[in-house]
Parts: sequence; C-alpha cells; structure tokens
Amino acid sequence: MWQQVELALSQSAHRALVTLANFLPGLLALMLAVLIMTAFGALLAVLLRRLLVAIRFDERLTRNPLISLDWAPSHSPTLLVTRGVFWAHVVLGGLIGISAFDAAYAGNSQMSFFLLPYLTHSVGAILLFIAGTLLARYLARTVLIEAVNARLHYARFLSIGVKWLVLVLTTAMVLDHLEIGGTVVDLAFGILFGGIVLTLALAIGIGSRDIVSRSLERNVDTEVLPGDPTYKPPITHETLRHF
Amino acid sequence: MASTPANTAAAPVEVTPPPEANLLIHLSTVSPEALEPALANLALAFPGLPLTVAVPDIAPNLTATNSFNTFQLFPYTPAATSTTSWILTAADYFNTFKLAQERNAPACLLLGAESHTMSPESIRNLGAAALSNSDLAVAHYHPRPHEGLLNSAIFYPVTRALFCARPRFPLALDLGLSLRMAERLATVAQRFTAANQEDALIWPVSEAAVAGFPITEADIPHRTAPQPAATDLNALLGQIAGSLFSDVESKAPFWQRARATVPARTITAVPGPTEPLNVTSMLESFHLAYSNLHEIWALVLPPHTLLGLKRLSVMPQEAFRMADNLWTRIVYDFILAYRLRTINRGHLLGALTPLYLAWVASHLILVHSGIPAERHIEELAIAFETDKPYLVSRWRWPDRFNP
Amino acid sequence: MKKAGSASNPLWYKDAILYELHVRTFQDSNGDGIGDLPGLISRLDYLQDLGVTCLWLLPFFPSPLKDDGYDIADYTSVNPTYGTIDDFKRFLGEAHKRDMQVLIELVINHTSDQHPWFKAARQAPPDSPERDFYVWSNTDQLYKGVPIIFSDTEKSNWTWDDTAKAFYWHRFFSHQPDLNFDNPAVMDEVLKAMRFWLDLGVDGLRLDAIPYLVERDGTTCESLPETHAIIRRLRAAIDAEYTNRFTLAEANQWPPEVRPYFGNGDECHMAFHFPLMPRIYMALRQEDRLPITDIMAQTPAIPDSCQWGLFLRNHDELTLEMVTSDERDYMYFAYSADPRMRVNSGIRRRLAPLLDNNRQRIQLLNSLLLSFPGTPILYYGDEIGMGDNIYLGDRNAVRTPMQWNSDRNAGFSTANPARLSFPVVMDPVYGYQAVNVESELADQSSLLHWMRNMIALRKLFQVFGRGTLEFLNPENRKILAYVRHYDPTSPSREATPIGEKRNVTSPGTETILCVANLSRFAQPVSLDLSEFTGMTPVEMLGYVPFPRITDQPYPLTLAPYSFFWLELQVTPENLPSSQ
Repeated sequence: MWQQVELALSQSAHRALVTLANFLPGLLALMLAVLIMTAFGALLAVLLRRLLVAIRFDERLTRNPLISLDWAPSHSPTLLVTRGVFWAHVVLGGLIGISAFDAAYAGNSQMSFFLLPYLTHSVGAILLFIAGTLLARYLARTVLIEAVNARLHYARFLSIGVKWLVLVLTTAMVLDHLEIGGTVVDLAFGILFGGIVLTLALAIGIGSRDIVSRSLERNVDTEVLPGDPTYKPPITHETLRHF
Repeated sequence: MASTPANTAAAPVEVTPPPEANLLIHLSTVSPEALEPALANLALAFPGLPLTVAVPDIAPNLTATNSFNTFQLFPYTPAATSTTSWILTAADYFNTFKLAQERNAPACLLLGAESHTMSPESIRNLGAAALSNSDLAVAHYHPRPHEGLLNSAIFYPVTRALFCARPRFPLALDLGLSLRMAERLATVAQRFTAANQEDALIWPVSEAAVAGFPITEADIPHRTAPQPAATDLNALLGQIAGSLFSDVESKAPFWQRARATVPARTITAVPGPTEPLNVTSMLESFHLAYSNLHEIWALVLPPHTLLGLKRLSVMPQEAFRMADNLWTRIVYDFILAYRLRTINRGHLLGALTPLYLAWVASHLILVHSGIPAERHIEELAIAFETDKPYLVSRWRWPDRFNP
Repeated sequence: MKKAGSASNPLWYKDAILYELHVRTFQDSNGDGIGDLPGLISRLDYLQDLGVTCLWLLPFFPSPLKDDGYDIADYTSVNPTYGTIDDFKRFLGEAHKRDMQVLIELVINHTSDQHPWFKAARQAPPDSPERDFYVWSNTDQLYKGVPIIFSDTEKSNWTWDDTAKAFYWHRFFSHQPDLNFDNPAVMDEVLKAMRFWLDLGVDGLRLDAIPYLVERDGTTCESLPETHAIIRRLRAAIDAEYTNRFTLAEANQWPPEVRPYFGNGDECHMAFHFPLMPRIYMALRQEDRLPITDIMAQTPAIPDSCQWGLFLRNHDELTLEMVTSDERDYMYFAYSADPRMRVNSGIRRRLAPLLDNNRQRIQLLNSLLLSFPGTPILYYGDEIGMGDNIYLGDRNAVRTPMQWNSDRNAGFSTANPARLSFPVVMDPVYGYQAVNVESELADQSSLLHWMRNMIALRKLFQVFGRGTLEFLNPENRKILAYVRHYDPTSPSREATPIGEKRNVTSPGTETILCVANLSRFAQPVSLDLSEFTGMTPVEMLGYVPFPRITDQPYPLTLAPYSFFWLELQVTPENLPSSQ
C-alpha cells in the first residue's frame, strides 16, 4: 500500500513539475518579448526625435494653415509623436508576449484567444474615450466664448449641451467598439442624442431672437419702400470703428 | 472726413524734400480703380521728383509702361488676399526692404490701403520725416471719438508704457522708414514669410524702441480708414491683440528694464459730441459675459479686479464708469495669462472681448459727458505707466496669491 | 466630592495656550473608527511636548450626532462611543498631572430633540412645567425678523412638532430646540450640569451660543439684558463654589457688542475675538495692514481680569458675518474660488489650504496669533499643516482625523478604512503620507518643530498674554509693526501709561517690538522708535542684538512674509554703543 501512495505522490509531483516546466518558458518568452520591444521602441523613439528635430517638424506644422492649434514647448508634436511610437512598441511587445506565452504553454487554456482581440479593442476604447473627453471640454469652452461674444442668452446652456453631446457620442462609440449591448445601446443613445440636439436647437432658436430680428431689420432698411411720404428711415447712429 | 483737432508732436514741416532725395514709396493693398488716383496724389506730393514707386501688379494697363509721370513703377505680386490685407503685413515690409536695397534708397514710405484719400501735404510731411534724423516716422491721425478704439484701449497704452514710445498709433497704416529700420523690420518679417505666414503682423514701434532708433510722428489730419476684411470683433481682437501680446512676450528683456517715461501730450479743447449715445448693446454683452464667463475670468484675474468687475456689473448705465486702473490691471493680467498659457490662447482673447466692450461703453459715456476723448486716453496711458511695476513684478514672480 | 482644577493662579488663562480638539477625530484606541478618550489619553504626551497648556474638547456628551455633538441628549454623561465617565476622570487626572488644564463645552442655549427633557416636553400638556422647558408657540409669527443662522439648511427659526401640536423655537438646526430661560427650573438644571463637571475638576467652560439664550418679541433675540443676568448668575455660582476656573463666551459680534459679555469682570472671563480673524486673512491677501489696525482700533478696553481669545481657524467655517459685503465678496474671490468651499456665509477650509500651503505665510499668521493681545487658540492639525476635504458635507471639511503617521488611516485608527467616521485626507499635497506628526517630529525643519519653539518662546514672556498693544504707523502699508509692553507693577492695564510716560527700563517690565511683512516681496521700512532711544533690540529666537535705537528713524528690511520679534533691552552701560 505504501508503494501505491508513493507512486501516486511521485506521479502528481511529476505532473506538477511538467506543468511548471511548460509554464516557465512561456513566461520567459512573455518577459523577453516585452523587454526587447521596449528597448527597440526606445531606440526608435530617440532616432525619430533626432530626425523630426532635424527636419523641423514643428515649424512645418505651424506653416500648415489647416492646423490652428498651438502648444506649449513640453507638448510639441515632435515629442508627442516620439512618445506615441515608444508606447506603441511597448504595447506591441505585450501583445507579442501574450501570444508567445500561449504558444509556449501548450495547455488547454483558451485565455489568449479571447484576451487578445478584447485587449486591442479595450485599448482602442480607452483611447477613444480620452480623446472624446478632451475634445468635449475644449469644444464646450470654445462654444461658451463664441456664444457670449455673439450675445446669445443661453450661452452656458449651449456649452454644457455641446459638451454632453460629444461625451454621449464618445460613450456610444466606445461601447459600440467594445461590442457591448448591441442594438439596445445604439437605440438608447440615438434617442438621447436626438433629445440633446433638439434641446440645443430650441436654445439657439430662442436665444438668438435678437440676432434674427436684427438681421431682419437690416434687410428691411435696405429695401426701397414705395413712396410713402410719412416713412422716415430710422436715424443711424454713428457706427463704432474699433480699428 | 471731419477732424477732431488734437495736438500732436508733429515732425518739422518742410515744404519740399531736397531734390537729391531718393525715396522709395511702397503702396500696399490698392484696389485697381484707386491705383491711378493714388499715383496722381503722389505726383502732387512730390512734383517733378524721380521717385521709385512699388505698386501691386493689379492694373496691367497702367503698370505696363513702368512709369507714371516722373516716377518709376515697380510692380510686385501682392499676397493672396487674407484677413489682414487692410493693414501692413510682413510681406509688405519684406518687399519694401528688398526693393530699397536694390534701388539704394536711403528711406522708404509705406502707404497703406486707401492712400489716395490722404492730402499731398500729409504725404510730403511723412516723406520729410522719413528723410530726417529719425529712423521711424509714424503717422498721427486725427480720429473722431468713435474711431480707433482698440488702439486707444490697448495698443497705444501698452506700447507707450512698456516700450516708452510716443506714437499714438503704433499700428499706423502709413510709415516712413530709414534704410536700417527697413532692414531690421525685414529681418523680423523674414521669419514669418519663411514660415509661410505672409500676413503676420509686425509692430514697428516696438522694434524701433528695442533697437534704440529715434521715432517721430507725422501729422496726417485727413485720411479715410479702410474697412477691415473681417467684421467680427472677436476675430479681429484675437488676431491683433494676440500678435501684440506675443510681441510683448518676446521683447520681455527690453521692457523689464527701467526707462524714462514719455512726456505727456498737451490736449487742446474740443467741441462737444454731436452724435447720440448708443452703448446698450455693449453693456448687454458685458452683462451676459459677466454671468457666463466669470469662471474663466477668475482663472486670469486677481480678487481685487474681480471685485471691481462685480461692482461694475451692478452699475446703471448713467453711472457706468470703468476706472482706469481697473482696465490697466485687466490688460496686464491678460498679457500675463497669455504668456503663462493659463488657458488656451484663443479662448483667452475671446474672453477679453466683453471686457473691452465694457471699456468702450465707459469711454463713450465719459466722452458724451464732455470730457475730451484724447484727455481720457492720455490719463489712461499714464495709468498704464504708473502701474508698470505691477506687470514687472508679476511677470517675474507669477504666484497667484496676490491682491 | 469637589476636585480642584489644576491651575494655581486665578488669571492663569491669560498665560495659557489653548488647543482645540475633538475626541472623535483625535485618536481611536478600540479600532471602531471613532476617536475616544483612552486614545486621547495616549496622545497627551505629544500635546505636552508641543507645549500647549489647556485642552479644549468639543462636546463629548451623549448625542444623536446630527450636529457633531452640539445637540446634547444628556448633560452629565459621556457618549459611550467615546468612553465612560471613568475614562473622562482618568483623562482629567492625566492632563492635570502634565500641568495641562481642560476646557469643556457648556451648551445651554439648546439641547437635542432626543434629550429626555424635550421628549417629556412634547408629550406634556401646554403650560405644564415639563412643557415650559422649551419655547413653544401656536404660530410662527412670534419673534419675527430674527435672522436665521444656518441659512443654508434651515428656512425658519420655528418648526412644527406634530406630537406637541405647536411650533418650537430653535436658532440653530431644527433638531436643536432652544431651552426656555424664563423658566427658573431650566436655570437650576443648567447649574446642576455645570456643577457636575466643575466638581470633577474641569478647569473651564466654553459657553456656546451664549447671545441667544433669551428671546423677546420685537428684538433680534441676541444679547438681551436678561441673557447677561443669566451669565452673571452662572459666574456668581462659579466664583462662590470654585477656584481658578474660567468661562469662555462664544459671541460672534462686533467688538463693542462683545464687551458686555465681560460685564464689569462679573460675567465671562474670556470671549473670542471673531471679527479680527477674517481681517488677518484679508490683510495678508491685500498686502495692507489696514484691516487689522482698523478692527483693533474698534476693539474696546476690557476689564483687567478678562481676556480675548484669538484664533486663526476653528471647527466651524471661517465666518464672514462680521465684515462688510464688499469685504465678504473679496474674501470669497480670494480664498474660495470653488463654491463648494462656502457654507453659511463663511469658508470651510483649514489654515494650510487657505494659504496655498505656503510655509512662510503659515508661519507669519501664527506669529500674529502668538503675539497679539489675548490667549491664542490652536486648532488641532494646524500645527502640522493639515489639509481639508471639501467634498465632505457641512463643516466636516475641517474635521478629518488627526494625521499621526503614514500607516493605515494615518495612525488614527486600526479599523477598516471604510469604518472611519470621516475619511482621512489622502491627496498628494496634504495627504497623511506626507503631512503627519511622526514625519514632522523626525524633520528638524518641519512646521511642527517651529510651532513648538514659538510656543515655548511665548511662554517665557508674560507680555504677550498680559501686555498692552500699540501700533506703529510706518509709511509702508505692507508692514505691520506694533509694540507690546507689560509692567507688572502697574495696577491695571488701563492704568499703564503709553508713549513717553511709561516705564520701559525698570527690571520686570517687558517690551517687545513686533514687525511683520504682509507682502510677498521684500520690503524696507523705517520705524519711529524715538521713545526707546538708547535701548537695544534683541531678536528673540536667536538672541541676536540689533543696532542700537537712536532718535532717527530705525530702518529695517524684511524678506517676503517674514517677521521680527525684537525684545527691547536696556543697553548695558559698559558695552560700547557700536556693538
């Protein structure tokens, strides 16, 4: 009987060691992939930065009339591009490592099969979300200032509306990207979106009554009315010349 | 155009420039039908002198002969029309200097849009000033109280306080430059033209002040001001004020040293205003902005200024008066915020517009009550000079825990 | 059995340094997330080391805790979560052993609606003795026009009670009905409660909300003569039966209106100087001494046995009631950009966040606190520069647990962090990992060491607590310069002459010149010290002699936010004058 026990123990120990032995190379492969890709990415980033500075990438961008944004020296496009390249390599290294891990670990784990595409999707979703939030905040402030200068009375309301519009859109895109919810989510966001757009339209319409009435008055003045002896054009005040 | 008499520092008036003077005249932004009257005007101003005139190549029938009267015409291709084609741009300075260097002219005149409305005598004055010992001759216009408001509110006081330069119109349309001044301006302009920004603005007065060149003014009483291409005040203010603030930032080492202040101008009496007052829309804009943009202003302005704005927002129209030192602090704090990039620069200048409109309303109400406009502007400029230590101290120590 | 307080001198409160703390958030000993008395006892050594001499405990009586203990359900017991009455006796003994006095709250204006008196009152029929303990009315039109104190939460000073079928009066929250002091039984009960604690040996009583005791129609129901009569009765009872105790009035009024609370030395011993506190912050921000000198000029003289209580912050919001509306707007713009920081016309932030965590500003304000005429009151946590949490409701932003070390829960408690009564501050700037007692004790340059040294310095001199104050008026408005003078031989503070006539050279007198720079830039100043010609100023912290005073203006230069305490000493005759 003791021989049976000994046999069972040695067999299970052997099995465990075999699993571990299979596991270790995979882990090592994962770490190596990440490290190598990180080093490669760093090297590439340095070279890329030298290249971009040499060809004066930032100055070329300022020349391009399409791009009207301006940036602080610590966030110049050169630095953003090089940082992006570096981190892309790190992420790529991680992905390669995970698939290498799976290949080495000849177990019945279907982990990476599900993990890989989901990982890429979630990375994309996170990036989308971040971009959407930044854009929402920037647009909200721009709309607020423009609306105030155009003397719209619901300026703050408009700016909040625009911000939420962009955020709702972003969330819808993110969820769609992650394939969560399906048609129900689409429908719900569609209704929400339409509601916000309707409210904004009403706000603009009601708030810009003055602008509309002012432009209408101007059109009336320029028309020549049929000889009405009692009609006198309104006194035009001295127009201001700001410059 | 009716003139509001205001005393200025006029350049010594000479009847005719010496016959051996070789002046280069650069006409910018002339519409085709205004070209011939402009040239005829010049002929009246400098009768019989063989001057070189650079004209935009827009009326081939006239420029084909390359001569007009006694002048030699040099056509050049104007830049594509943009929003700043109604004032002097970097391309203009650059072209002027190139031509002056080729022709070996000791001085040049830059005349802006609608130059044919100037009297020949004014042009002659400007030419004489350009040929005199000064390196920069700036036109001094006689605007009415409703005109040139941005200049009165921001450009003149800031340029005068920081650069200790006297010209009343730092961004004048008509300038007289000596050759070395033209060279200096062209160097600055080249930075912009090389980066494909042909229509960037340059501030000749601050350049002259930094170089230490003497500056004079030439009186030009009659002139029609051109209509700005962009009618949106927001965009206009953003572009021009933004360019001024960048200029101030780049010349910080210069204006941070103590310098002698500019002697005050004497203001002569003026007739009372005849036009009715209409400031309601501006006040409305300010009130709307006060309720909506207060958070943005609170990022830029210190508590003392915010308190002043709060008091301003409850003032009735008759008593609406923005104190000079309140406006001074607002402009200085916005210049600082522009430099520190506290918020996006476009948003910052957009938030300045309603405050500027409040100043305009206050200024017009003041003028309407009988105070001469020029006297108020002079007091404002002196307030800017007096408060310069505030700007210097906050520039050097941007801590926000301040009164 | 009456126990004596531990003070030996009847005017001990003039030399005291008060430390305000809340048992609930100081130290937890049994791991339930709520501070308690045994925990407090374990931290008494730290407090003794700091140098404070009197501990002010916020209410620790049984209470439903809807107003952090100020709604009291039993006057003569201890809230079980904080400990037992025996724990309190032990605490009192330990404090007295370390030569520290104890000041507790006597909240007699109102009780909790869970107090047995109120429960009996609402059941009792109208006009019965039990009913008469509180102020009832059938309509809410009585005492019309009286302002509401907690304007953010309450809409009226009357609340309808369904059980009693009547309105009851409450100046504070609706769950804190006001006691009716027209009923002699109420006064008896109050005296009984007072005697209970004084018998145990408590050294002082803070009379909370004391102006609001009595209501009369057609008045603002504040500071009425009947209220002062009640205070005199309390004082008489204390004077007759106890020695070396004091009372501290909480009367948030303009200084001339606080003056009556001292009576002729027969009412309260001390009172808070509320209007000075916001003006210190205003003067600092505006870089102008005028707000401070102005309010001190309006402060009337008080009886010799009385004392002002000075503070920079306390457990409530930084109240902006005693300022003009323009000044209030300025303070809001300057110190509370985020509307979340405002409550009940005040700002609910701690000292360090208000000053942007600038060490020099904190030290400057503390120097004012320790050198102005009165007894300084430190709020717990301000000696290490603790931050606040504006996301907590009401005034709890400034009532977060004390930060002892960088362990779990800042060393305040070993409980599960989710169980804490209030979460610990953990942001990157003020979080407990960075700002805590342990790290500051180890760092010789820390704020805590500085406070210890300054408190010790202040305790060496009696002039700060007992002396007179005159402002010098140099031309530079950003400099606050004042002279503190104390002559122990003069019979009273009022009798002490000022200016040329006074005696500044005889031994025993103390004369200190304090100069403070309110600006963020270095400032020069010339002071007129001709009265002290021939004396030598000696800087007190370093004992460094400064140039001798002549009859010419005395020039000084001060670094940003710096201050000098200069003791004016008689120049020894045999030393050359150029020393």
